Amino acid sequence: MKILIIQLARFGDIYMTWPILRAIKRIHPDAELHFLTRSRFASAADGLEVISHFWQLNTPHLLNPLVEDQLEVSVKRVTSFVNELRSQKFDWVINLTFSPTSSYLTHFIANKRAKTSGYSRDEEGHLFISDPASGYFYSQVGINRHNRLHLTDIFSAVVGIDYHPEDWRAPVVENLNMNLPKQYLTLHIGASEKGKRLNGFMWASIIREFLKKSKDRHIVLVGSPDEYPVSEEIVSQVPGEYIVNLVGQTKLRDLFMILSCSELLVGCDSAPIHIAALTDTPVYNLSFGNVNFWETGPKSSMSFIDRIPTIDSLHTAQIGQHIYEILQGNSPPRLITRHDGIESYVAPQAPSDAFIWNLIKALYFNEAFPLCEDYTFYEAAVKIQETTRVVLKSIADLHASAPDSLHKILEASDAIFKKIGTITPKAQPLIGWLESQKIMIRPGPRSQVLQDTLEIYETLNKVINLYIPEDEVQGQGGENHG
Amino acid sequence: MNRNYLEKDENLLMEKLDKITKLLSSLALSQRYNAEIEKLKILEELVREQIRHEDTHHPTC
Repeated sequence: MKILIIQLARFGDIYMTWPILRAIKRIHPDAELHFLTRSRFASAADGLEVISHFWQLNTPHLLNPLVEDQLEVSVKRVTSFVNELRSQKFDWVINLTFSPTSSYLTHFIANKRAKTSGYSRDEEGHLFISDPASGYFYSQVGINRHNRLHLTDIFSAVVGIDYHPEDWRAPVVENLNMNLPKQYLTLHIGASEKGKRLNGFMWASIIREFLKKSKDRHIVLVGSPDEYPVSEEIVSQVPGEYIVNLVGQTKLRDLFMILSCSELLVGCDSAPIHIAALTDTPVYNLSFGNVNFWETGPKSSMSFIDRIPTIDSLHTAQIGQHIYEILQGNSPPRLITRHDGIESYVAPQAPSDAFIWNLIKALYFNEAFPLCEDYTFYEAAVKIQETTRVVLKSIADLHASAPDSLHKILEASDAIFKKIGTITPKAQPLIGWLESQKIMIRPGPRSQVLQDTLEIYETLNKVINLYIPEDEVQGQGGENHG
Repeated sequence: MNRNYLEKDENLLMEKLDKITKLLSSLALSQRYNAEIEKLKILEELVREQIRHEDTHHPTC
C-alpha cells in the first residue's frame, strides 16, 4: 500500500502532523508512506522515521520563470512535478492542508482508484470534501469561527485513526554536547509572526522577575539566527551566569534534545511548542492576538496558556511569577490548562461562547442541543425556518417541472442563510453546518443529489424547530408558510 | 532568485496572476475541466498564496 500525506502549511503544522503519520504507520505497518511539504519548511520533517519517501514542493522553482515572463516554463515545471507524483500510483492520498492549492494537487495526484481524504476537487474542478472532519473544518474552523477542536485531533478524524500515546514521541537524537546545565528551563524568544514576538527588553524583564524568586535555575535561550540580536539584548540585561545563549546555533531537530531535558518551555505561538508536545515537555505558552489556542495550542500533558490581547498589555512581572509557580508544581489561577476530552483545554468562557460551542457539539458530536433565551437567535431561527420551508416546498413542487427555477431558489436561499449567519453570530454554526453538508453531497444521478439535498434541509428544519415554541411550529407550515 | 525576490515583486505577481486567470477563463469557455486546466489552477493558487503570504490553512476554498 502506498500512501501520500500532504502537509503544505508551516513548521508548527508539520510537527502537528507527526503523530498522525506515526498512527498511520502503526495501523498499516507495511505501507510505504510518502510525505509532501514545502521545501521552505522541509527541515520540520527531519527525524520523522516512518517516512519512506519525502517530497518537496519548491515554490520559487515553480514560480521564478513566471516572474521572468516565461509562463510556459512554469507550467512545464508544475507538470513535471505533479506528473512524477501521479506516476507513483498512490492507493491513498491524505491532504492535511485545508487550502485551494492542496485541493487541486490532491485531485491531480490521486488516480481514479485511489482513496482521498481531506480537501480535493471533483471532475468539474469544484471543491470536493469526502470526510465529515474536513467538512467540519470547512464550516467551523478559521477566523471568526468558534471551533475548539485541536488541529491534531482534526487530522486524526480526517484520517480516521485514533492516537496511541506512542504516536507522540520524539525521534532518537544524538547527544549534541552543548554543555547544557543539569537543570534548566528553555525560552524560545521567537515567533512565526512579528505581532506574536516579544522584544529583548521584555524577555529580560521576565527573566529578572523570575530570578528574583528562583536564583538557582539556568535558562537556555533558543531561536533562529534572525533573533540573535534579541538574545544579545537579553544577555546584556541579565546576570550572565544564568543564561545559556543558543540562539542561532541550533537546528530545529536539536530542539528535541534540548527540550527533552528541559523542565519547562516558555514561548510564544511557534513550532517549538509543537516539538515540546513530542518530548512531552511542560509548556508555558504566551499566546497573543487572534491566535486560536483551541486549534494550535501546546499539547504537552502539562501545558499552560496565557492569553494576552496585545504585546503592549503584557505584564512581565506576572509572567516571571507564573514561571516560578509552574516550576513549583502549581497551576497559576488565571491560565488556561490542558484537558483530555473533545476540547484540549479548560478555559473561562462567556455564556454566548458556551452556547455557540454547545450548538456545534450538538450538530457534529450528537450532544444535546443547548437552550437559548436570546431573542436575536429566536428571530434568526424564525428566518431560517421560513427559508427552509420555502426550499422544501420548492424541491417538492419544482424538481421535475422547473429545475432551473429550483436552482435559482436554492441559490437565493444560500444568500439569505449567509446573511442570517453574518447578522446573528450565534446562528453561524448552523449556517456553516448547512454549507458543509451541501458541499459533501457526492456527484451522482440528479435524483440522488436531489434526495441528499432534501434530507439536509429536512434535518435543518428539525433542528431549527427546537428553537421555536411548539405552538408556533404547529401554527405555521402548510401553504401559508410554504 | 529566491522567495524574497518574489516577495518584493507582488505587483509583478499580480500581473502574472491576472494573465493566468484570463487564460483559465478562456480555456473554461472552450473546453471542459481537464488536467491541463487543473495544472494551471495549481499554478494560479501558488501565485495567490505567494501574494497573500497564505502558505497555511484557510478553510473555505
